[in-house]
Amino acid sequence: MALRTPLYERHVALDARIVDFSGWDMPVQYPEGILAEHNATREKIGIFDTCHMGEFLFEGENVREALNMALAGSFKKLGLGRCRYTFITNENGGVIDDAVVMLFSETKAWMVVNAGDIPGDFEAVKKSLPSGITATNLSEKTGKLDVQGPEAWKLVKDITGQDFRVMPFYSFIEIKWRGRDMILSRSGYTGEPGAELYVAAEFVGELWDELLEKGKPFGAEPCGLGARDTLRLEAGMPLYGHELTTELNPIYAGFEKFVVLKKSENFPGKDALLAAQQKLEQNPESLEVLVGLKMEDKRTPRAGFVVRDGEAEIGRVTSGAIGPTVGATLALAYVKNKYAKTDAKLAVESRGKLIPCAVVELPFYSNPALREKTE
Amino acid sequence: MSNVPVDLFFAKTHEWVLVEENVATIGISDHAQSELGDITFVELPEDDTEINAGDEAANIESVKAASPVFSPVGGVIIEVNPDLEDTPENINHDPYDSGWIFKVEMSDKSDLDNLMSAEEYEEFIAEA
Repeated sequence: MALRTPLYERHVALDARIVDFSGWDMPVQYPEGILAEHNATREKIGIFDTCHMGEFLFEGENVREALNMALAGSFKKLGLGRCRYTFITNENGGVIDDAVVMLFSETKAWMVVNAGDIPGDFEAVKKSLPSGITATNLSEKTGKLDVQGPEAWKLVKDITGQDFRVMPFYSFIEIKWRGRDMILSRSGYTGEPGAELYVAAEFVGELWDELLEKGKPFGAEPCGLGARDTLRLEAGMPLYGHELTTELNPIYAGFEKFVVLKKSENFPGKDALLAAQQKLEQNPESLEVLVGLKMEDKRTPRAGFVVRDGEAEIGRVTSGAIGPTVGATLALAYVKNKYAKTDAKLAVESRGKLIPCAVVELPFYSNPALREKTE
Repeated sequence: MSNVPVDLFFAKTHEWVLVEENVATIGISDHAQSELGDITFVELPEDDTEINAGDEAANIESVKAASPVFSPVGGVIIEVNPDLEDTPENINHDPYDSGWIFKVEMSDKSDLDNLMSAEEYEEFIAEA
C-alpha cells in the first residue's frame, strides 16, 4: 500500500496526475502541466505539498555535540534559529540521505529528511546519538508546504503576518497561524525566495486550502514533483538517489564543504572520508566531480547516459531535463576532474546519437533575491 | 475525457492513422499526449525510409521521459512534419491536426486490419 500525504484527496480533486515517488502516491503535475507550474514559480508563486518529507526531533543537553556525532557537518557554531544543509553518512562514507538541521536551542533541534526511507534515516541517526539525547520521529504528525517564488513573501505575509524577507536565508521562526503552532523557514528547493511552512498534520489541509484561495490574486499555482525537479535542476541542487547515493563519496563528489573532518567528534564514515581526502590530495585526477552541462540541442539527457570527450567515456549523467527558464536542456553529471572545466566541449550519448554540450558553472539559474534581506 | 475523432484508425500503442488513398498520416492520440505531458522535442524519421508495421519511427521527449512512436503501417516515409522542430508542443495542443508527425506511403493496406476503430479505441483507453 502506497503512502499518501494528508493532501492526497485534494490532489485527486484538482485532477493531478499521481505517480509513485519512493513509495509515495504524489502529484507529478496538475492539469496546467509541468512547464506552466515551473513558470508560475519563477514568475509568481508555486505551492508544493512536501508532507512526504520526514522530520525528526532531538532533545537533551548539548544537542550540538550530539548532532556532530551523528552527521557529517559541524553544528558547533550554528546560530539559534538557523538551518544547515548536511549529510547522514554510512560507515563507508557514502551518503544515506541529505538533510537540513534546524537549531531551536542548546537542547532542541529538528532535522528534515527526504521521503525515500524515513525509518531508515531515523535508525541511522539514532544509533549515533549519545545517551541523554531523545530522538522522536515526528514525520507522520507533521505537515509541510513549500511556498516559493518572487511573490511568495506577499502570500506568506497575507496568511501569517510575517514578511520572511527580513529573515536571513536559511533561518526559521516559530509563529502562530490561526492560533496554531507554525514553523516558518526561509528556505526551499527551487532557487527562488520562499518559505517552508510546518504545521501539525491535521491542519495542513486547511493551510493548503488557504494558500490556494488567497494565492489566486497573486497568481499562485499548485505545483507537482515534475516542476519541483526542473526548478531544483536549474538551481543546481542535488536530488538524493541521483547526485547523492550510498555509493558516492561526498569528498570526491565536490561536497567537501558539508563534510567537516577536523571536528573532534567521530561520526559514521569519518575514517573512510579522511582516507578519501588524503587519497584525493595525493591524486586529484582520481576525482569525479559534479558538473553542469548545457546541451546544444533539444534532446534531453537522462540519468545514466554516458558523457564522452570524443570517443572516451568520461562520466555519467545523474539528472537531465529541459530548463524552461534557462531556455536549454540541462544535465548534472559526474565527470573526471580534468574535464570539469567551464566551457569544456563534451557530448552526451542519447540512444546512439551524440548531443554536443558544454560544461557551465552551477547554478544554471540564480535569482539575486534568493538570499536578499530587507530591513 | 479524451478527444477521439471518428474518421481515424488507432493502434494499441496510441498512434492514430488517417488514410487518404495510399497514404497514411500518423500522429499520437489526445490520450497519449495527455499522458506524456509537455512535449519538448520530437526526433523525426528521415524521408524515404522504409519501415515495417510496428517499427519505431520517431521519438517524443516530454519533460519527464522519452517515448517511441511506432508506425502502425509499413511502407515508405514520404513526409515528416517540419513544424515540430520548432513547435513540438503542437502535439499537445492539436494532436490530430497540426500535431501530425509523419506520412507513410503504404505497401500493404491490410496493415490497417490490425488497427482499432475510434469506438474500439475509446473502449481500449477506458479499460486501461
